[in-house]
Amino acid sequence: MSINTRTYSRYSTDVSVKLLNNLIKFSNEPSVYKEIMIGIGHFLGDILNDKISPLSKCLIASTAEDADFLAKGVIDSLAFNHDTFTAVFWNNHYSIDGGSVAPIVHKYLQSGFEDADSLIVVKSIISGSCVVRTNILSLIERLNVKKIYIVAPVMHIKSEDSLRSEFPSEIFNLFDFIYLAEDSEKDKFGEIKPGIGGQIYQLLGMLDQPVKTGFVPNIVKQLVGM
Amino acid sequence: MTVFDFVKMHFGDSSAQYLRNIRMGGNNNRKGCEYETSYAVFKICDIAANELNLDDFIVSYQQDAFVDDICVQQISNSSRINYQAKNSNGTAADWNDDIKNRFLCQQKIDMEFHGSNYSSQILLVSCPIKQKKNQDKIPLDMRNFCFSEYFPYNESVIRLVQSCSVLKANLEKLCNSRELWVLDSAYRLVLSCYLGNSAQVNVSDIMVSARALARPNIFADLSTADSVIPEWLMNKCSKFDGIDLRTEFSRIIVCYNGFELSLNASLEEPESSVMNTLNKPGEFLAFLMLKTKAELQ
Repeated sequence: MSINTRTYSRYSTDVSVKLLNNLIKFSNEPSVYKEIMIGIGHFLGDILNDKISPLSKCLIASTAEDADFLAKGVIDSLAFNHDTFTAVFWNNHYSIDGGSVAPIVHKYLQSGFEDADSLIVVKSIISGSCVVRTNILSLIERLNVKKIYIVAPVMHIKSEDSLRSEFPSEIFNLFDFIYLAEDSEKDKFGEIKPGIGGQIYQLLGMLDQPVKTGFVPNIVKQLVGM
Repeated sequence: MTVFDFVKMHFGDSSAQYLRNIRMGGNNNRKGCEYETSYAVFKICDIAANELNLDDFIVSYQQDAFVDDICVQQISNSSRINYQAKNSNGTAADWNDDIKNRFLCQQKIDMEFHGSNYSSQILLVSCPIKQKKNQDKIPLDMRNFCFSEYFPYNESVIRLVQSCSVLKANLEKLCNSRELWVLDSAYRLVLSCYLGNSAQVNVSDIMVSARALARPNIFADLSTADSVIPEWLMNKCSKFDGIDLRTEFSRIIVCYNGFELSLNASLEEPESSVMNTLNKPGEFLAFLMLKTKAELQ
């Protein structure tokens, strides 16, 4: 496993390479790690700002673990010149014979989200297709979007094809993958190496998946008024 | 007497050897059989959504048979339907003399060796034009027990569900939901349980396993009425402005300003000493979230 096996995308710059390296460097310091994730969110949000018309209404969808960090960075950046809506999912992701499932247990959908014409699915790392697939499926029939941006700092080299193959052409033709690097290696537990430095829950200082800990992101608390 | 002895006695040594070769080929080709597996899941969902006694139905694969890809048996009426699956629109999926002879032999095995009251042999193909041509080629004197049937092939679960309206309707019924992610997950859970079971299993066992594997449960209980929202939950929620309750695929949904919590319908009433400490909507919602943890392990 080596950073030398990594392939950087056309969106990558010296700044983003340093940010990705810092994820690995600070994988034992959750407070620093969170800030780096927010920074990567800003970086990815700036790329989206250049791609998405200011007239477009953007729905930013993430898992609960990513909402206050990577997704927050993306939202902060996009909100400068776009109307934004937030969707947050508490998936229970687990393995079964023949793959995995990630049923949605709880969710937050900001009022007016149906008006969005750009769907931005944000995830800290895309390894398989399970969580992203499930969350897109939960939204797609309630939206009339022109574009679906799938946004992550790091993806596995096979994930883009895998995700496209899961959907009918009228949906996957809307996909635009925006990532900074692709990794080709996985360890025996299926974790991408070097990826983002480990399991996202532990990296962010969480004990487990938010659905099992009752974690509610601050962004949801603020929007809901909790 | 084994089925091989029966075949040897009625059709000769070469037919018995042919049956052994089919069996061996089936064993070697188990991994490359996504098409028949997806049809088996389709049949399991069809039975589970529309029959009352799921113990009455057995789905099996790769049995000692001339038509050996899938067999669906109904115990109570002693019926067997065997499927030979051909995921092709080329000559490999054609009705031909070999298929004809295999279907004739299998019919005799079903009726005389297994003692079935009813048996039919199906040539399952993934091309609708091929299905029509095959159906026309079946000799008239075989058309009361031999058929060609079309079932689409798709590696993608969601494409398969969208291309097969019967499968979609059955999954919707099983989950009491029309949400695509629910149908996608339900299909994968049934598939996982089918793959994880032995080569011969009844539909009830598969569906019980699928329910147990679903965390949280996304399957509706077809034998009971809709979920009822517990009175204690209604009373507590009524104390907060803006909390709404509804039921959805056998679960209770608690809604607050766009935040939706999904709870098990059999959620137990907490101690009043605990309830009395939950005086803000956020506290109560956080408490309910933790209550779902047990069913996710």
